[in-house]
Amino acid sequence: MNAAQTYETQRLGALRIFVGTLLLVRTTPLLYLVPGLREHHGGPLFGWPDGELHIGLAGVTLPVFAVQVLVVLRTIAVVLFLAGVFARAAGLAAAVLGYVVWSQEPFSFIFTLHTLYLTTALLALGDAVSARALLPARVRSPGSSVALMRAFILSIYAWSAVAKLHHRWLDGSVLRTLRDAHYLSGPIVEHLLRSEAGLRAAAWGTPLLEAAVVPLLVFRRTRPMGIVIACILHATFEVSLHPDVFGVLMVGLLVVFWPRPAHLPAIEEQKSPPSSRTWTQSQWKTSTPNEHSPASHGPAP
Amino acid sequence: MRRIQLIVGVLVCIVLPGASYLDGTGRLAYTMFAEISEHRVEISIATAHGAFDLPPTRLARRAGATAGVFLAGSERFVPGPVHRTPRVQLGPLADLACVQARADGIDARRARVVLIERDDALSSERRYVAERTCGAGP
Repeated sequence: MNAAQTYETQRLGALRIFVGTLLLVRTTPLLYLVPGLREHHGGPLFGWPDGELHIGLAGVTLPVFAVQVLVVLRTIAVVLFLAGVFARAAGLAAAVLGYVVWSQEPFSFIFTLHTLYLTTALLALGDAVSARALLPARVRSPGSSVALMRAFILSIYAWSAVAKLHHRWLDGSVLRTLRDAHYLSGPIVEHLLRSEAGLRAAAWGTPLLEAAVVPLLVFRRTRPMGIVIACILHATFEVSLHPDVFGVLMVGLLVVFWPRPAHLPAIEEQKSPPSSRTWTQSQWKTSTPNEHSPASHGPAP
Repeated sequence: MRRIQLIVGVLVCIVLPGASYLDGTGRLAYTMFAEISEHRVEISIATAHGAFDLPPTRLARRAGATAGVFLAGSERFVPGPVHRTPRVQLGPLADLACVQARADGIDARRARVVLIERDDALSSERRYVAERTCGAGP
C-alpha cells in the first residue's frame, strides 16, 4: 500500500466516525442535546413502538417486543460501527436493522435517515473500517471504497435534480406552497421568494446548481468549485428549510472529493489480492519506509 | 474496483432510486421537498343507530408519534411533502378508529377511512378508501 492508499483509508476512517456519530445522535436521546433538532423520537430510541397503530410494510407486522429488541440491537451496532469494533458487520447490521425498524413504522420515513443508513452500509463495505478504529479490519481496496462513496454522493445530487424536473416545481408552485405553509422561512426566503420572479429563479436555479455539481465534482480540476457550490446549496437549504441533519451529512461526505496532497502518488489497486496480501493498519505501520515513499507505486509486498 | 462494491454501487446509485419511480412516487430517489401536496382524512363510524364522523385528530395520540403528525389537524387540508405510505395504511387506521370508538363507549360496527389528496386548492382530488368491520374488542 502506498502513501495515497494510507491517506484514503485514514480519510474513510474519519468519515466513518463522522457518519456513525450523526447516526447515533439522530437515533438516540443525544438528539435533544443538539440545538436546532427538535424531532420527537416517540420513544427512548428512534423507531421505538409508542402507539397502538401496528403496521408493517407489505403486511408484515412484527410483535412490539421484537421491534423493541431490533431498535436496541440497531443502536448497539451503531456504537460498534462508530468505535470501529467489528465495524464491517456492525455497519451493515445497523443499516439493515434500521430499515427493518422503519418497515414497522412506515410513517417515520425521512430521507435523512435513508441516506444515513445507506452511507453507513457503503462505508462498512469499504475500507472505512480499516483505519481510526479500535479493531481495524484488513485493508482491501481504498481506491474503490473512495470511488463508491463518490458515486453515491454524485447520485444524490443527480437524482435530486431529476426530482425537480416537473412543471409544478419549475413554475414555482411547489416553492410557493412551501413558503405559504411555513416550511420555508428565514432571510433568504424573505428576500428571494417574496416575488414571482424570485420564486421562478429559485425553482430553476436549484436543480440547475444540483445538476452542475455533478460534473464539477467528477473532474479533479473543478472539484474545489463543486465543493464550494454544494456547500452554498446546503447552507441555503439549512437556513431556509431546516432539513434535519441532511445538510450536515452531505457537507461532511463532500470530504471524499477534496483533492489529495499533490506529493502523494496515484492509487493503484491490487488486481486480485490473495489473503496474504491484505494487511491490517498496524501491519502497514511496520512496513519499510520505502513502501510509503512517493516513488513506490506498486502493490504491497 | 471490487466486484461487490461495483454491484452495490449500481444498486444503490441507479437501480434503487430509479425503481422507486415505477410506482410514480420516487420515494427513494431523493425527492425530498420537490413535490408537495395537501391531504385530508375523513373517518366515519357506523353503529346500530347510524353513522357519525370521528375527527382524525382524536386518533393522533393513540397512533403514535409519527403517524400522529400525519393525522393531527387533518380534518382540513394539510400541506406536506408527498408520501405514498398513508395510502396503503388506511386499513390499519380504520382498525385504530374501531379501538378509539370502543374507548369512547361507542358500539362501533364498521369504520371507514377516506384519504383525500390534491396538489393544491385548484387541482382535482384523489380519494383512497378503506373499510373495516369492528370486532368485539377486549
